[in-house]
Amino acid sequence: MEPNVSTTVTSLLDDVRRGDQTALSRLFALVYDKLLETARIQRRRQPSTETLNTTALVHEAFIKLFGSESRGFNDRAHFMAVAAIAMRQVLIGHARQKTAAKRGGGQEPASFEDVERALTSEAGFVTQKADALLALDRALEQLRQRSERQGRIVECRFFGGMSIEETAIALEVSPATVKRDWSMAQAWLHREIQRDLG
Amino acid sequence: MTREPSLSPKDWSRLESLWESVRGLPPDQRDDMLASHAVDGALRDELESLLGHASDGEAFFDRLLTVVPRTGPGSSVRPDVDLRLGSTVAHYQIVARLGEGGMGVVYRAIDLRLRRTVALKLLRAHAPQNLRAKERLLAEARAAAALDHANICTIYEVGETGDHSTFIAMGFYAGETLEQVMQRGPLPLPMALGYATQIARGLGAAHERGIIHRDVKPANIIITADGVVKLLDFGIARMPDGDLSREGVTPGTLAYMSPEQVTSRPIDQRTDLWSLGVVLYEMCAGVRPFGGDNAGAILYSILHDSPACISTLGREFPGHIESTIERLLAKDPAKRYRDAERLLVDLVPTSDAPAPVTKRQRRRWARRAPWYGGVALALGTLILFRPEVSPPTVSDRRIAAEDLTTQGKRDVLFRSEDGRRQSLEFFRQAIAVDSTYAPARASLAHMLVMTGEDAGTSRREQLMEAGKAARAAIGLDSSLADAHASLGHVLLADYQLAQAEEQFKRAIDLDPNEPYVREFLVWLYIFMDRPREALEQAKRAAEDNPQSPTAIAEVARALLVNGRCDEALEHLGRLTYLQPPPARAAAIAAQCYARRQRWQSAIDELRPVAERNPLQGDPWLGFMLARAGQTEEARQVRDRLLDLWRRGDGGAYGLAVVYAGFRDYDKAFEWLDKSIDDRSLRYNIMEPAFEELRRDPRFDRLRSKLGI
Repeated sequence: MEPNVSTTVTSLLDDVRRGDQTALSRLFALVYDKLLETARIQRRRQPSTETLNTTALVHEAFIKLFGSESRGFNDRAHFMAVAAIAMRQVLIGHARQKTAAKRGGGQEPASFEDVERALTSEAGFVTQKADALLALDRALEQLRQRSERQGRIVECRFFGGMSIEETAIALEVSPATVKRDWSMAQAWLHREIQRDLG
Repeated sequence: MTREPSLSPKDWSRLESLWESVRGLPPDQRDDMLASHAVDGALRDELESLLGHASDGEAFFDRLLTVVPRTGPGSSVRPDVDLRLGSTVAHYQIVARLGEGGMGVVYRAIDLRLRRTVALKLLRAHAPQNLRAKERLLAEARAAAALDHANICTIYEVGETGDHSTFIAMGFYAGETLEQVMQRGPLPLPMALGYATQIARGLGAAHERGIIHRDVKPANIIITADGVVKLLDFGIARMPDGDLSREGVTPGTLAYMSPEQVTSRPIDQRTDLWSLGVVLYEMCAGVRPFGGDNAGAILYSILHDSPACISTLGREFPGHIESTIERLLAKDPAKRYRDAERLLVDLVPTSDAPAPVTKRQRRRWARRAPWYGGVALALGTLILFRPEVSPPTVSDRRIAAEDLTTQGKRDVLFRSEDGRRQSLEFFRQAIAVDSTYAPARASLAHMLVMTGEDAGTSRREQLMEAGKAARAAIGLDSSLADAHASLGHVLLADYQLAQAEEQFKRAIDLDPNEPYVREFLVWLYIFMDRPREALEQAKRAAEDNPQSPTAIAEVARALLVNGRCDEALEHLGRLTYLQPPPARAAAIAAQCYARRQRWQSAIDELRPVAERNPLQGDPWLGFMLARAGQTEEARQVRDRLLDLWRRGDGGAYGLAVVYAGFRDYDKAFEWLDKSIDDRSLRYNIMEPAFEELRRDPRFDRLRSKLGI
């Protein structure tokens, strides 16, 4: 990444504010590696914990990129959308690692029933949960082929923990659209994950 | 995934709008609705299938959401936080926010002059009418800064920023607050007495110099990992003529305040003794002596209630402890101990030493949570000036080293030349603080190799230092992927290719997500003339990070060396929205164009790169210009590079590249020989642009020299 990344981010955010549709994806490409790296550092700092702290991840990257400038809610929403995608990559990477370690012993991937059971139990980040995330990741790619927007909405809502309003601002669609897409995407993904895991 | 023929985009958007209108309807009305909209065939099947998953889907996602770690809903960025982190206050760089108190916000910060971590308290800006109070506060803080006691948090500096807000730089210790410790329940008596004794000693030292704490409470007391008490915020926690309403006192603070304090009567050192009494009571009993749901109730209790005797609360306590607490909590200051010294006589009745806290007891209690903690990093300085302070412990050092290493890694992110140098400095500091902390050495090795990339001057020495650091890191911890990756990178840069491969593979075995390793492997395999394996690694890297611009560029590079230029350009097309284009993407694209003799396109790609960073862009720009027949400008580029090289900037390799562009192979090989010596020769010697050069018999000699 170039040294002047911070100013580039600022001007890209201005473009986003002015309604430039491509600015968000450019912004994303620019900060993506940084977000991933931040997440990795987070994880390495606490190698024993199995989860990542989204807040810390977003925080650090946000602060690093914006420095001391005070920023509005819109910028935060845009930024969180970017962070959501990075979060997806980090979590999926984590899940992959988890299953790879277990599958060394020739264990079968979890069935949908196994996944359901694991999700209702309190236990930590077990392999079945990792399998669920990986299945979601696959299904999400399928969904994005049909609707890029729905895919992005799932990323914001699910991986980014963003509210309907934040998602709407970040993706420049109405809250009603976010609501509708989110509910349809959940049904669609549920069906695909169930088929996928069998 | 097997599935029915998918819907057309038009059907999909119909599906979306139908979803909106149908979802909320009961099943019988749904059918009517669908019939009236003439929905049938595949679209209707799909809609019904999805409706069947609607509620299960939502429930499933609710459960799945628990897998995604998250500390708060929605907007996790606090608007008031991003104001200062990353910025500097005087010569302190703010690193993290630690907490907030009545008088301001506390941050963790790095003292940029002394390179140590501090806790930096920024006091709220004061209204002009409070200037006198502020002056008094500053005076008292400065007096507190002169306090030098093992049980008092060191104050390094009290100062003012450019905009007249006041800051206080304090020691940063590893440990927990007493508040955190007590959350696990009442303390064993010897431990409670031990802590009370240390608190009393700290207070006594301050009182002797006329300094009153005014806000002794568990949140202001740190228990370090070694069980040493550190009193925080001496004399600065509360305005000397504290007006409670102005400072917004929370019930948690109020509960420890003395009767004279809450009624704004004159106070002296005995107010601190009251507060210590409350703390001691709470350590023993597990509950506060004066409680209540709201400030009014607490206030009333402080002024009127006599607390329940601690022995009636479930545990037995020796009589003298009960009477000590009773005396500390006398409503009338005149009936309390007159000073801390007299209290200490009662706390430690038989000998001078407090009842020892056994290691086992402490282990049960002291969780290893670095808090306010960390230790002064400039250990040398600290010990020099404060010989009576006990030296930092091993765990203090480790935390400090971790902290510095993380700092250094953060600066990597911007990958600027300055950022790299700063990172090096951080890693060296970390090693100085804790010579056994392997990740710092691994990171140092990695950064040294990276830094040499565009400034090839003392590259050889740099590589030697890097190799040493990486080997030391592995010696300390052979299970560290980071260390093996760094050693691999050092070996790659030193042309020990087979050994490099071994290290990279070990790194991947240890942690498949170790960043950069596959990127390095791509370079290594290109260097070893194993293009197919290079592509395999590039693809694996892109699978892990499908959206990473770096990963995308490396796939393109691997495609290029496999002669698949069209696909390479297609890949790079995904990055064209990045303006200016990343240097590596531009260089790869330029080579693709060069394959098709589209010199001008290649030149256009490289020009912006060269403008930003001549060392990075010029060699290939010169190559392309020479090939395009723009000899005059190509010569200018060459002269510029020669100049840089003579000044010790940039390696010999850049000149070899330009001469290869001129097809002046005598000169090219001359410079290539030099570039092996100065270690600036790069793996892209095997890339297509050098095809002609590689057919020269002299290249075989070079090959064997490099062991390819």
